[in-house]
Amino acid sequence: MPNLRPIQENFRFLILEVTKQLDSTLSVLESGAIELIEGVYLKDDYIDNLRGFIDDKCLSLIREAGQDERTVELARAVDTVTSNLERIADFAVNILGQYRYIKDTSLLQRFELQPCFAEVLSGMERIEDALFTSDVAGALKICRSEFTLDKLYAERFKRVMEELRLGGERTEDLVTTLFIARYLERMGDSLLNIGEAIISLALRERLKIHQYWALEETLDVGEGEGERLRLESIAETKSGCRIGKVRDLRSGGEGNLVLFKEGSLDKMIDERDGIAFWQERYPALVPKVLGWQEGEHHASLLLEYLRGKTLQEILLDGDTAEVNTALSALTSALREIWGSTRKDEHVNPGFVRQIAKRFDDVRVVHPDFGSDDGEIGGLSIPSFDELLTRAEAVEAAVGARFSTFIHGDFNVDNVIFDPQTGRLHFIDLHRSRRADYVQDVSVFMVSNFRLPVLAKAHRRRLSAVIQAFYGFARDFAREEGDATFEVRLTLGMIRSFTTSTRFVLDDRFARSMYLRARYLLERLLAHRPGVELGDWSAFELPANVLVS
Amino acid sequence: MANDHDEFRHESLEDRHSIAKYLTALAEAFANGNLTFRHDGQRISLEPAGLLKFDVKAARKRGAVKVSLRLHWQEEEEERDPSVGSLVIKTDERRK
Repeated sequence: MPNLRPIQENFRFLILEVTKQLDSTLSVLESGAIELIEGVYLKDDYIDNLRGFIDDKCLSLIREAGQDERTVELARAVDTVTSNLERIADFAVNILGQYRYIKDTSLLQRFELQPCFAEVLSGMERIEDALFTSDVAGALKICRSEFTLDKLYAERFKRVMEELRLGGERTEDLVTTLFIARYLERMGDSLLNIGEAIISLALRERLKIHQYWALEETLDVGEGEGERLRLESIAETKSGCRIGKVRDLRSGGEGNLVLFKEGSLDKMIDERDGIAFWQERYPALVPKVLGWQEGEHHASLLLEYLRGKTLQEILLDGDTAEVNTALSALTSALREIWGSTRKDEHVNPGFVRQIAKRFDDVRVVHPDFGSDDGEIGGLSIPSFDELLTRAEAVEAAVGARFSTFIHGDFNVDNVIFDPQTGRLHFIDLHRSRRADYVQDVSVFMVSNFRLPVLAKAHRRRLSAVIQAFYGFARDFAREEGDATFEVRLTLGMIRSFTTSTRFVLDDRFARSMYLRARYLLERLLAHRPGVELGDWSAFELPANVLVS
Repeated sequence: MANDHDEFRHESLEDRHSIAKYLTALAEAFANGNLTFRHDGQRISLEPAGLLKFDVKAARKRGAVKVSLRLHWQEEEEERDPSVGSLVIKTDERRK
């Protein structure tokens, strides 16, 4: 463990000096002790120097730390806290700058700024301990100061506005008073940054206070008790949600794992509704909802932690027997779901429209995709965009004649299988609904294809999985008399190959998917429907695109 | 006339049937003596003339097959740069 004492010593001085600055500022405001003002200005330079010392020491600590991540994290946290403390000191100087403009100091006293100072000071008192012992409960109290300060500011703001509306000669003093109160409110912002830096240090994850509170509230624990919930991992999803694996070490929690998912309100509502969609008919297939908490913009879900591995993990790391067992479980489950939820109605997934909606995002990553028309001698090559427009007409003619329950985002990592119990689960259900099952088939096939693994053995296995899944889905389609399965699947594959490229930065790999989409489009458009116009039953997915 | 440096590239996936239209288009263009490529608003017009060097290569290596066709020729220098005139060599007819 590196020697933190020199940093801690400087840090203690910094806290002391910033506290003194606040005390002096309050004395000037309360009792007009203007002789203190000069001292505050001079002390501000000293505070800047202290911050410089601490910065230097943090930097050399980081240099010396090498592989010692914990020390680096602590040094970073100290740095964040230090710069916010310096900012608080600067705000004190700014307050005194404003004080010079006050003509009637008794007016200022009427607005009682003392409670604001007291709140800032009470937050400051906790910083050293909370920081150097990574204390979540202490950090939360520091964060709370920001909310108290916001409230205190709002009250004063309201009063100033009321008095301003009454008119009179005090306009300037009232406005200056508001400026002063505003600096105190900004000190609260700095305290919040400090508290969040300490929480992130303690939980070893960058967490905003609202995310931490969501975690606590969904778990229904008291303030600061979050320490006994160990965040084992946290990941950000493509859709911007955060998923944490939390071990509940509180009494009664028995060290169980739960899943905590936090994200924007609309996404989380979709997720909750998606789970409810499956719950009634297939309760064992989806995770149980253990808690729900919603705020103005964000919401969070607490979910049962499902034991097992994602299908992706099994496909990449499992042995052949394990892969076969998992795939059999998956296809049996799908056969049951599709078969028993089948409802005769016309549905059209609108794959071409789905591409159009995401193509701008594709072009951000791959600017040359789309407008690739050209000419070779007398042969003119249409652009991808043009081919898509032509495919729209095909799509309109080949909607599905029945709907089933679908997952809606059926990626290979959204299926969990427990080889021990043979249980299969679906996760990430925010797009679950009734629709064309071909949507799930095509997404699943391409999600295998696009896995960024290059080893030949892996690619061979993925190809085999894709082919086997295709065979299974085709058999189901035949049994159900689904005559346009192949053409819809082709459209779905075009959609998934194209839109997947927005997540793939490797140009060669992205291009191989894009060219596959293009090839499928050309084959589709080259097909002449049978005698009866609109008869697509003879069309087959050109299966050569499934092999990489 | 071509610019000093022109380039055209087209990449696609084809199968043994769909490739035919590209090869036919190329064969016809050579037969007509005019080979035009266009992409992204840029046009390259080539007029194969004189001797063409033709290089066919086929290889198979652990299942990866490659057949390459390469055609090279040189454009008349005057066509690229009119400032280069043809040389005129005069010999003195009278001998002493």
